[in-house]
Amino acid sequence: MTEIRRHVIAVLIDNEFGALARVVELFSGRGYNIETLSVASISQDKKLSRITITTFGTDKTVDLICKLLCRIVPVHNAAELSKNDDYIERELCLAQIISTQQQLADAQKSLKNFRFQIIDTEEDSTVFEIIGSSKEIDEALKILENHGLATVSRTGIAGGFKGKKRLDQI
Amino acid sequence: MVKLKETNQFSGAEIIVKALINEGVDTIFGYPGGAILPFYDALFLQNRITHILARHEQAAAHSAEGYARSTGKVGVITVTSGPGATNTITGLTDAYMDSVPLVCFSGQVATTVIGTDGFQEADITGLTRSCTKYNYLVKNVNDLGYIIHEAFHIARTNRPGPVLIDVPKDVQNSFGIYQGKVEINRQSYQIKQRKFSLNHDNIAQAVDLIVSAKRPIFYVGGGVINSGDEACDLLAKLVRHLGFPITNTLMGLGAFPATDKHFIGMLGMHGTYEANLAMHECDVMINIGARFDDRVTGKVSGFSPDSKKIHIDIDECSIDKIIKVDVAINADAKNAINALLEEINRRKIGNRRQEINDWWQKIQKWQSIKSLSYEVSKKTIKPEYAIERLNFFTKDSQPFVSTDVGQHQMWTAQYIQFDKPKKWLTSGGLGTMGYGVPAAIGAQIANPQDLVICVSGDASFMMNMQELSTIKQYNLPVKIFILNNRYMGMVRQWQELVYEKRESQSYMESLPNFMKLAESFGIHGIECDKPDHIDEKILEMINHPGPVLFNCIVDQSENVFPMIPAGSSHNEILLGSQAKQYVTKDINAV
Repeated sequence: MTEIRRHVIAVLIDNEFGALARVVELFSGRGYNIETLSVASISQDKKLSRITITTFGTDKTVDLICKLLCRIVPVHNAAELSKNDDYIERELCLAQIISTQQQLADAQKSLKNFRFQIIDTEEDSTVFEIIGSSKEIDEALKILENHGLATVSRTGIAGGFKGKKRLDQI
Repeated sequence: MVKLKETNQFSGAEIIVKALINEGVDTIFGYPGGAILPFYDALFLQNRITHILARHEQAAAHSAEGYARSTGKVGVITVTSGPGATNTITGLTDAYMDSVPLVCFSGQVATTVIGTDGFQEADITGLTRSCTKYNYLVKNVNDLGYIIHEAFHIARTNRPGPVLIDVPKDVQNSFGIYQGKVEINRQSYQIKQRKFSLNHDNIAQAVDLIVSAKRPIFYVGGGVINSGDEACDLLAKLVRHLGFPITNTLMGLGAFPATDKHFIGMLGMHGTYEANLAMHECDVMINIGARFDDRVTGKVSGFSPDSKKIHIDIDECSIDKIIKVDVAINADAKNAINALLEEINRRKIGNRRQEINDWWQKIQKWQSIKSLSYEVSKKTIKPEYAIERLNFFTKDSQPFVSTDVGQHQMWTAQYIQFDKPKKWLTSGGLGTMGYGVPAAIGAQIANPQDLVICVSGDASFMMNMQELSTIKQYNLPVKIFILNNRYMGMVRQWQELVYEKRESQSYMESLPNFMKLAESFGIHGIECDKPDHIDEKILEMINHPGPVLFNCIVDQSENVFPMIPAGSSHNEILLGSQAKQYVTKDINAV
């Protein structure tokens, strides 16, 4: 219960100003850092958004945060995805390297086990789009550090339960 | 209800007035200023709503709390932007902690100026996000009407709490459509209400525990009072039917009659010996509408170690937050108590008083210690004595009693007997000094024919004493009874117990002459420093038809006992006679 571990939390919330701030304050007010956060509207009418958050903390505090999330007026549902292993997560990363042609070829070769594509090139600058779990992206970035890694932009993860289990069934 | 045509256009300020009337509001508390002037102008042009002018916005908020808690209705505050709004934050936080339904309207600079550091601009929705149940910044006048009705709905339903509506000046001035009171259909909020888990399984499990309990206790909090008078009546029926002992939290006083023989006093840090030991030794605890607050549990690891725990709470977040329970019932107290009674009747379970006679005998032994006794003095007025006499002379009229925070608050909780709900107004969760006088004003406005007493301390009273002016303006017959010990008594008590009597900043230098203070506000002053005179002076106070400021000069060194020192368990409770041997265990506990 008191062990600090990584938690992934998903929230369905009305898409309105101030709503995200209410969610974030539950973490900051407890001295918890949000490691990743992604948010976008998910319904055609743009009225509903889904937030995915990763944080490090104790099970007890994260359980309470999940209940407090459900209490926020515009929140429809909130639950921890990472209670068991029955969840999936993906993150997208844009990584720019500044390199010679030879370094670029080496970089592409080193990344062969990762899901990536080049989406922008200009002179000696190349931007890779890399997709995977946060862990995979960490590994890919570590490799690119030896190949002229210049700037990085990560989306934070999007996540959900495996199979047909839904957020509102928790 | 006012019927309105759909095509009618009203100014935002008029919409606020109309929506308030449609919510049944007849009294609001506030203070005008630049950004809320359009509303105050609309208020001037109507005669349905009475506005009570406070002398400070914090006091307006506490008055609205006193109004709300003494009636069960939603309290309404109207203030201007910037400092007007920030001054309400203590009151909003107080209401949030104690689950008091409030709607606060704050003026805001015009939408075109927001975010430019305009005069008297403050990001009040940002500032109050963590101390309100919900808040709004209204950007379009056409949304205003619905928002107001939704705000009232949110403030009063589920676990009640404060809601703030920030209305920019141009929104108050522009014209829009108001459709009257409409049904609130916010899906995200309806989901929360559907979650209440009044299923037969957990009611049956609770009754299983109740049937087999050998050492049961009811531990009841303010949630039952918030649930309504009917919930309190059902609770009394349940407790008397079963013949179990009951203890109330500070917030729960009045939920069950204090003069009933089943009641064994308040529990917690300054609760009775019998209530705390019964909590420690019980085998089944039935918590209804209380949240295992740290003033109640003491050291969590030592809390009621051998009991099975049933917890009924409307707020799922309160369940398993501090104490893991065996049967969790996430529901409104009234519905849950009713379900318990039905199941008990269905199983034909009768009174269990005789079956648990050993337990009652044990409790009676603890009661015989008389943990609320104190040394009587002929020379100085003991504060406990003053409150006992106050209780003696006022209990028949069942007064509303508000307090501030500190020693006087605990003595009032210990010695005033509340037989009815909604009579006891105190700042429990936040512990706000300065709450008492404005809360009494709110209660008196709501209950003009009733006796309203504010028991205060010399230090607390001075935190909102400007409200004497409000009392005078509306000629409110509030009786302010100050236990004056020339100290911040509770601070001094902790310094005595924990900091080897180093009285750092807790002595109240340069107190005013309270008699002259009262006179300067045109209020009747009474002073008493002799135990022999207290009876006649209290009678003089009660019989005076107008407001009274009573300066009761009491023993300076008296401390509140019993006491469970912070960080200790219930069975480590200190009686007054044991205080000298006390050694601090946990200096970080508060």
